[in-house]
Formats: sequence, structure tokens, C-alpha cells
Amino acid sequence: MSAVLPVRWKIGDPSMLSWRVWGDEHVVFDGRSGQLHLLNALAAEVLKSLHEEPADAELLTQRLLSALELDPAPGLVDQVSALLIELDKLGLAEPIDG
Amino acid sequence: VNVGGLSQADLASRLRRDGICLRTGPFVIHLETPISGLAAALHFLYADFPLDALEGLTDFHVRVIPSGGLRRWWRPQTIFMVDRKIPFTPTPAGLALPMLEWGLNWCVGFHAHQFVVLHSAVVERSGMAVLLPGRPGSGKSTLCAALVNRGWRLLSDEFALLRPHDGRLTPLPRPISLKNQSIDVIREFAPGVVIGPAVRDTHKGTVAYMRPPADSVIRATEPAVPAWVIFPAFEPGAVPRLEPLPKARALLRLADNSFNHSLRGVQGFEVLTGLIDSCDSYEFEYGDLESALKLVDSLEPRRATFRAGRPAPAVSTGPESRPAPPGEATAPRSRAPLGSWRRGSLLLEALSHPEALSDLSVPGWDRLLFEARQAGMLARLGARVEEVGLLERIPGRAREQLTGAQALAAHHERMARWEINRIQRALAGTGIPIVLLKGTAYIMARLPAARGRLFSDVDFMVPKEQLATVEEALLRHGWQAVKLDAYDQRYYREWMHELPPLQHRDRHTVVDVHHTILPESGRLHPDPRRLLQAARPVRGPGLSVLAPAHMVLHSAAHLFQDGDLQAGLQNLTDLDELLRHFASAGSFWDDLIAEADRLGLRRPLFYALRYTAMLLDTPIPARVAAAARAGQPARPLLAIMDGLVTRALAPEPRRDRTVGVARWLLYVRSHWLRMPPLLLARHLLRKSLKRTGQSAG
Repeated sequence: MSAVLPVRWKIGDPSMLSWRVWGDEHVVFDGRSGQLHLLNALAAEVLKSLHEEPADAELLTQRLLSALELDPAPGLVDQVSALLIELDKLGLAEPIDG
Repeated sequence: VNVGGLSQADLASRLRRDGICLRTGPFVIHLETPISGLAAALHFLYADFPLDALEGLTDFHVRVIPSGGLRRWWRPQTIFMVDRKIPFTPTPAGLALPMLEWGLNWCVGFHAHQFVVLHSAVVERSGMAVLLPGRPGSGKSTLCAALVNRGWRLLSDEFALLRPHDGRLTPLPRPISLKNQSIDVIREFAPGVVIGPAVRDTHKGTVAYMRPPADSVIRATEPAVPAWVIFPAFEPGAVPRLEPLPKARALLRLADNSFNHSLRGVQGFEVLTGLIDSCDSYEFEYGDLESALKLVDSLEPRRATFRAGRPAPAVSTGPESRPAPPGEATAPRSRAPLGSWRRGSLLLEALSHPEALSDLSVPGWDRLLFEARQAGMLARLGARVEEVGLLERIPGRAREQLTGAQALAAHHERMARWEINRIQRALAGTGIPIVLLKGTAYIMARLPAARGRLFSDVDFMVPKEQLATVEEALLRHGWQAVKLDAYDQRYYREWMHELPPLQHRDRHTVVDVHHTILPESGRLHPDPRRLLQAARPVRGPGLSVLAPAHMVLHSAAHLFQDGDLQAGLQNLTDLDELLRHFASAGSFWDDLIAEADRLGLRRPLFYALRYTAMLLDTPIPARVAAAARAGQPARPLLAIMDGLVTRALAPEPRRDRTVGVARWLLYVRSHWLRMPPLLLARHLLRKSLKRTGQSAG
């Protein structure tokens, strides 16, 4: 699945995202779409990571493993790829030159 | 003077003749009705409410009237009108009071953008307020009525009005709406309570209204600090349970109950997060009122400080959307004394000469705002007032109305930009250039015509041979056909200048994909290739807009050939803004005349120049006006058009039946121009048969 994805991803427009974090709850308001999103830890970390630097799904997965102190698990790259597609549908992330 | 200070007969007489100014919280409603039963209900339920206009300004002009014609005798109905518009279908005659109450709720929920408005009951004690947000059936009004009968002050049983600058709650006490079993529940709970007669067979079942306590009405100017957010859920027999709600989830629930937080962009988000920060939030299941009240009474206030959102900007458009500074390329609006009302409309005078508003009296402002609300031009008027630096010098309540409307317009602009972004995303990889039309083009080209403009849909144009690819891509990305009927599909695809409208399944926004600018079945056929070839790129991959002369001609054709009179005055002011803006741009006027000739659009251009000059004092060079006369119709026809257009496009300062007739005749004219006679006859027959079938079904 990841093979058909565009290579690298970025945040749609980081300047339009407003964050609020209460403990492990993450909420982001997208000023472009006017939508409020409740994010789980994985989605929040993906967005934060893309905010720092665009990445492809594999690189992103490595960064997540390190940030969330997780052990590599089979299928995680596919899970991240699927999440990126969801974030793209919401307008939060988009492929570069995609 | 309070409503109760008048005799019922006197109140009924005033309501029938000139109307009354009824003050409810921060709003003043000018109310007229000839329905004596409604006057009696108002006398009973609104007895403690003051009859005056704050600063002499009204927020809404409301009329509740019986239906006319045959309906007077056969299944009589009641019509709710606000600012001369009818927002809902009429109700049976016996439902005048619920109709009025629901109508007033609609006015607040969809127009009071000076506040962040939540669907929530609010009560207060010792300065600390409880918000009870909830959907119909959650038991919020019943709980609210019970709390009010146990010493809590009523702020509202329907709306939490949050002030964006400090997060406090502005009261809006009005009669509490009780439904079905709740009516008897509250009667038993508080035997001394004053409840009006029950109205049966509404779409919500039986409804009765509880008169708000006099103390709550008297203290309607005292704001309150939010301390708790409680989401009630009535469950018969349930043991009351107050469950703390995590803040993020409370925020999302609150956003679900918000009418307009997203309209203020990030400021709205900050107001809601500030509220959540300063309050304890709970889910509250209850099965009986006594134990529920004990639990609510036991809440300990947490004196948190509200983290206020940003100070309310007059209008919050991003730097990208800032139009070119006025005066750089825009023809100035000359100063002229206001008040002659030579066209019978103060709004037209104000749009033409906004500087003169510094001399406007308070009654003048009241009338001007009424006209602007009627014409859907409040935001554009606000933009003009701001442009000439008068926003801080006008009556405060007028400023509130204008900035509230501008916040709505800024939201429309953000949503239009977002929709363009989504369309770009859907068409990415097709290589098809998108030529934006109308309002979205004005935004992306950063034109003054975008200021204070409202949008209903996004229009863009592509080559006809690319339509199928574009439609397929949009359908793949969540847009769906709105017109499902086979005839409607054929109507658009064979005779119109655009695909059948497509609506996004999640965002509900509508996209019109054009392949030319006028219906193919119509009399005029401007060459779309010429328009596409001359299009000018704007910021954003694959985006462009029509060349200046073409943009004006499209706007003229849209209004005067295709007959879009839904937002007639807005469209005319678009033309005025475009002409002023492009006036000093090189060869614009020569291009305009030459392109009108080449595209066969002399007639719409003639009308555009004539009526912008006539109604909005748009400066048209004499040589251009002379050249445009090539499109002038014969004198008798011109006299008729002058009469119709000036009536149809100007707001109605007074009730004038000829306005409706003029609009109808222009509507008929647009159909006449849109199709050859035989096709039009078949089309109208088809439509009327369909309508008959629908009403019979």
C-alpha cells in the first residue's frame, strides 16, 4: 500500500493549526477548514513530526517509534500510511507535489 | 414602560398599528402582529419586559401575520417574517406563539455573531453560572425551569451568549419552553409557577411557556461568569450521577452545541478553550428533579480566571486576503450630503457615499441597518464604513451589527478558500487549469469586491471537453449530484452553461462547474475559449481568474442576462467595485468596450454601466458611456427596464407591492432570454407538472 503513496508528506498549513493539550488529550483547530479535531497520541505525534519536517511513511514510522518509545511492530508502516490518508482527507496533511 | 404596564387592549392595538420595541437581553425586537391571541400571550408571558429601543436601534424587525388569499378561510396559517424575509414555511394559525418563539431563537442563533452562541440553558447564583448545553430532549429546559424556581437566576433556557473579549455570559431571559410531560412535571414541582396555555400539535408535540421571573428580567444587563458546564441527560428512574468529563471531550461536545464558534476562526476556538479551562465539566444523568437539584446545589465553585480570547477584531481576514489599499487603483467615492434619499433608499446612498455616514442620526442608522439586513448587505456596508474609518465613531449597537456580519463574511471567505483548496486537491494530477469565477475569483485576485461579500457556492470554469474528467474527479473526492431527477440532469447538461450542481457529502458546500458563462440555450453565446485564453494566473497552483474586462462582462451577463436577482444588490455592488478598481488600469475601458463587441455582450454591459451609475454613482467616463450605447435597447424597452431594475435591485424602505412585481417580471425576462419560446414552454410545463406531482404526493 505504501508503494503507491506519494513519497513525502507535509502539514497543509502549519500556521493555521491551533493546538490545545490537556494531559494526553490533543485537540487541534484547523483555521482553514474551521474544523476541530480530537487526536489520539499517534495522530498527534504524526502531525508534530510533520510540522518539524516533511517525511515519508517509513521515516515517519521510525520517528514515531523513537518519540513514543515503542518497539517495531509488523504493519506499523501501513498503519501510519493509512493514518496519513485520513489526515489528508481532513486537510491536515498533504503529499508534497502529490 | 413594561409590557405589563399596558392594558392588553392597548398592547394589541400598538402591535397592530406601529408595532412595539421589545427588549430581550441585549436585543431589541421591533414586533408587529394583528393576531389578537398572540398579543394576549405576549401580555401574559412578557409582562416584565421593557418596551424601549436600546440606543434607539432595533436588531430585528419581526412581523407575525395571518396568511392571505384562500388560506384565510381554508386551513389558515401564520407567517413569521424577519426584516421582510420569510425564513420558514408557515405554521397552522393556532401555533402563532411557538412560531414567534422559534423565530426569535432563529434570529439569535443565526445572526448574533457579536457573541459566540451556544445551544445551552444558563442559570446563575452568586455570580457563578452553570451552562446546560444539550440537544432537544436532553431535559435542559426542564432542569433550567426547576433551578430557576429554586432561586437560580435565569440567563436563558436556549442560548449561552459568550462575550468574545472576556468570556462572560450575557443574559437573554425569555419565556422557558416546556414540552409534553415537562409541563406537568414543572407544575407539580413548583405549584406557584406561571405557565401559559398549552399549545398542542406542534412539530415538537405540546408546548407551553413559563413566564421568566421578574428578577431575571430586571437583571438582564448583568453578565455572569461561567463556572460549570453540565451536559444533562434525562433518564426516567435514573439515580442522579455527575460524571467529570475530560476537557478535550467537553470541548468537542461544546463545539457540537455551538452555532458559530468556527465563524470567528481561531478566536472562536480560544473562547471555547477558555471556557473549558475556567469551568468544571460534567455529564449529568438524572431521573427526578429533587435529587438532581441537590446535586447541582452541592457544586463547589472553582474560582478560575477566564483566559480571554484575542480582542475581537473588526474583521479577521488574513493578510493574503487584504485587498489592494483603497485609493491605489480604486476610484474614490465623492463626498455628498446624505439624507436626500433621492433613490428612496438610504442604503444605496450609504454604499455610494459612506463618508457621509458620520452625520447620520440614530433613527437614520436604525433605518439604514434595517435596509442592509433586508438586502443581505450588512457585511458589505460594514466594510464600506470601516474603509472610510468610521467604524469606531458610529453608535455602539450599530457597530455590533456590522462587525458581527463582517465576522460572518470573513468566515464565508475562509470557507471559500478552503473549498478551492479541496477542489485543487481533487483535481491534482489532472493538469486541468481552474478558472475561478465570481466571488471566489475576487478573493483569490485580492479584489475589493471580496470585502464583506457573502457566498453561497463556488463557481469555476474549465474547457468543455474536460468536464467529464473534472466531474469524475470531484465525484471520487466526495462531491455528489444534487439534482437527481433525469430531467434536471438533461436540463443542465444540454442547455445550461454548467454541470448540475455538486454538493460535498461532508461539508455540504456546493460547486458549480462551468464550461461557459451563459446558458447554451440562450440568446447570447460568448466564446468560452476567448475567456479561458485570456485568464490571468493568481496565487495557487493551476488557479486563474478571468481578465478584468471579462470579469466585468461576466458579472454584467450574470445579473442582466441570466437574471440572478437572488442577491441582486450584492451583484450590482460587485460591478461597482470592479469598475472602480479597474478604472485606472491601463486600457481597461477600451478593452471592456472591445470585448463586449467581440463576445456579443453589448446589451448586458450597457445595463451594467447604466444601473451602477444610476444607483451607486459609479464613475463611468463619458466616452465609455457613449460607446456602450451601442447596446442600448429601444426607448420604450429602456423605460420599462429602468422602472423594473431600479425597483428590483434597491432595498424596500417602505412596503411596496410593485417591488415584488418588478422582481417577478425580471425573473420571467431571464427565462425568456435563457431559452427559445418552444423549449421554454416545454420546460415550464414540465416544471409545473413536477411541482403539482410533488404537492399531490
